[in-house]
Amino acid sequence: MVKITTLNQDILPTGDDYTITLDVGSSSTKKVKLSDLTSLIVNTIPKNTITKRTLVMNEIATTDQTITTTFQNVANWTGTFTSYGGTVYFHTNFTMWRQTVVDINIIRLRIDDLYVTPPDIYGYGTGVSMPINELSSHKLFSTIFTIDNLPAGFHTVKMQARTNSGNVRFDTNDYINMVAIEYVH
Amino acid sequence: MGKISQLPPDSSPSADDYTVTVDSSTNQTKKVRLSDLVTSVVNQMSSTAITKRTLLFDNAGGIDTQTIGTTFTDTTWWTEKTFSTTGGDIVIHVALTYFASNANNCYFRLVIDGSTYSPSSTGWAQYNNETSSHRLTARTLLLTGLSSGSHTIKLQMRATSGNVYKDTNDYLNLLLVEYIH
Repeated sequence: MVKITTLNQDILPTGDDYTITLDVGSSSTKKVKLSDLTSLIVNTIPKNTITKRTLVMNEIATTDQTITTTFQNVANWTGTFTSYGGTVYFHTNFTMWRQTVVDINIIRLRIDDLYVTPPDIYGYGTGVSMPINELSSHKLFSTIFTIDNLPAGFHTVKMQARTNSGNVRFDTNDYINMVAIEYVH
Repeated sequence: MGKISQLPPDSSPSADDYTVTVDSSTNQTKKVRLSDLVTSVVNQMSSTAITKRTLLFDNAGGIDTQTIGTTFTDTTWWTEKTFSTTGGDIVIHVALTYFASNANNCYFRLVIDGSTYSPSSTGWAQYNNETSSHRLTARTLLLTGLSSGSHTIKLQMRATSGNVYKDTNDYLNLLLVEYIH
């Protein structure tokens, strides 16, 4: 960690504004440039205290799965992270496909089996929608899930899917990648 | 740049915490609010002190047609770029289009300094059902442990069978965001 003792003392400040610090190394006060003190403060900020990055899911393949009109967990697509209680953005990319009829696929993230994002305020099965027109064709889904006011601590996330009609399909050729970026300050 | 001379002095601090500063324009000490001093400090921070953003490919269209088989190969035109870091975590936002000759998985990876791979040496997979049809693939990747200094990055791809292609209708976007704190 950078210390105040490393800052240059200036007895006769001229061009810049100065502040007084206590150098415990010499037990004396000294005038230092505010810009030097600013650099010291910034360099002293510990890693992951302004933002925190977590690789939640790293290219995880799922298994053969058929999901209909009720939200279900997508097999294997679960991960964990620890938060400080800030706003968390989940950068998410995966593929999925449809087998029988053209319709909308609805995706959401379930956290600790307590919260979902986007929130399902009215209980209508809300999520992020993605229509697929071509049947039997793996399609990329790319979005950023957001959650605020999550308690600090350890959390588990699960990807869930449903459709309005027919089914949405997943198999061993579908992979997910998810990076969580928490903005603590 | 914020200066202490711009901070309002308060000779009778009461409800808030104060600190003593030197106003070099008057060469006098003065008491200022800690919150004002903190604001001044934050305003002096450089735009890359907390995060650093580097846009390496800005929806770069291709000028050539490239055919790649089943071995990871450097992309042409979207060639190696250089970037610098101060040792923080790198979040890589990458998106591109391509097309393939066979219905199968295509694989993509980023190569840093010639020997570090993201997300791994295997790369990420994207399955293609329709052949000769341009498809989008995209990832947000987390790269940790990179040392401070200058680095190189390039894109490689391969097919599982047949070929993977890019042509003048394919585009690459590659953005690096370094999180320093």
